[in-house]
Amino acid sequence: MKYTGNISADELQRIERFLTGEMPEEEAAAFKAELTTNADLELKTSELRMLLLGINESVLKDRLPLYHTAVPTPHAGRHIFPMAKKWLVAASIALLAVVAIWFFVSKSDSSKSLYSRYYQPDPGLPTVMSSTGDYAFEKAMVEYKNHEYDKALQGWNTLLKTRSENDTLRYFIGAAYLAKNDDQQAIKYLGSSAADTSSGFYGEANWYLGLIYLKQGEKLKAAEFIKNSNHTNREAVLKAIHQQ
Amino acid sequence: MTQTFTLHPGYPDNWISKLKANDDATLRELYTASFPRVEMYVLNNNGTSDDAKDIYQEAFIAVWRNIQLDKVELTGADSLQGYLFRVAQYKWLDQLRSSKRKKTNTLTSLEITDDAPDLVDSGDEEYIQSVQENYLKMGEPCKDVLYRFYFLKQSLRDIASFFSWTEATAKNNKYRCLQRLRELVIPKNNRP
Repeated sequence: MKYTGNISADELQRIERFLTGEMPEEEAAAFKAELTTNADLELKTSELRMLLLGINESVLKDRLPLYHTAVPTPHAGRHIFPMAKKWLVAASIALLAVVAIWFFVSKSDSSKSLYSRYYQPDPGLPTVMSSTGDYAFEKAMVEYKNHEYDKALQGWNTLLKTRSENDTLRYFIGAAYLAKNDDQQAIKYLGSSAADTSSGFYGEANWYLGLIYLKQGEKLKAAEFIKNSNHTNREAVLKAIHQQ
Repeated sequence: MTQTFTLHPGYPDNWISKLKANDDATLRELYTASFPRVEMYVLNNNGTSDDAKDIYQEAFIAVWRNIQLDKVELTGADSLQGYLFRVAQYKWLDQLRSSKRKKTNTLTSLEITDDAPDLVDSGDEEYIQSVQENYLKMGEPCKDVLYRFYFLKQSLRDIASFFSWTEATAKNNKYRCLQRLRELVIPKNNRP
């Protein structure tokens, strides 16, 4: 493919109308005929066809991970041979037994082990993949769900420049920092949702802030935040804190 | 080479024009509906779910590209999903053949010789790759303008409204961004 020199704005518009099928039939036929006799126009049209294809293909490639999140996953993790599968089941049962014994034998946990036991990264929001909606936000959400926290943060932090008060954005930035073990940044971003009772993430933000302080050994502070959460393990964690 | 297939009953009548127009719902429907069969095929032929995903995405792009280039005809005896499956099958077979897996795989009846999915020549392929790489390197405003105009097919008026520009500014910016991309793709020292 050669660079075909300067293409004027009007010429570009004409070629685009042909390539995108916007030309009326008669005009398109005339254009096609001209392509056979006008080598310069033919070269420019070829170049632009591949240029536009490249742009659109780049965008589509970027979208495929989003589409893939909507695929049902009955075979996820497959490629396991029957015998290996049996061993895996046996190993899982043994592991569960060990975990159960450990759970009942250990009378008290350190704050850190409580954190390890109860911390699970926020699963994220479903992505709807709309073409005109919040595409950049959703792309970062997919990255977050794929544990690509740095990429997700890059996307969300860019959006935050123009939406500094967006509660959802701040909450998930905090969740991503927490998943990266950056407690200070997590506290900074989760803090606003945890302090706002009208926030849609009030309960979740309090839960995660409580766990962060638990990890840091600040049990009283942790209990205060966890009391405000609506997590199913709230009572279990509070009980464990009081037993320590 | 021209591929042929018939309309799949599950798709809207005008699905080909919707795919050409990059309609998000149609692209998504095609993607999600066709993946399980490809995944099953790859899993049954020495592959993993991740292999299936990679090969399927390559095939999906190839089919989309052929539709964009009008290299797929609407008459014949196959469905779009069947066509997409065969392209993925071809690509997986090609990968198996070109890797060490060939020594251990147990493929039996995979004779596919007429579905080579890559329908542009190597020079064009190189150019398209360069467009993609350079597009991703462009600044956000240019990327966004080109994305909105060419992929989403938004009008200059809508783009102007989104960026709080006049329509003339939107047209001018779109033109400048495209010129910039052309120059990035083929640097000055490579021009005749």
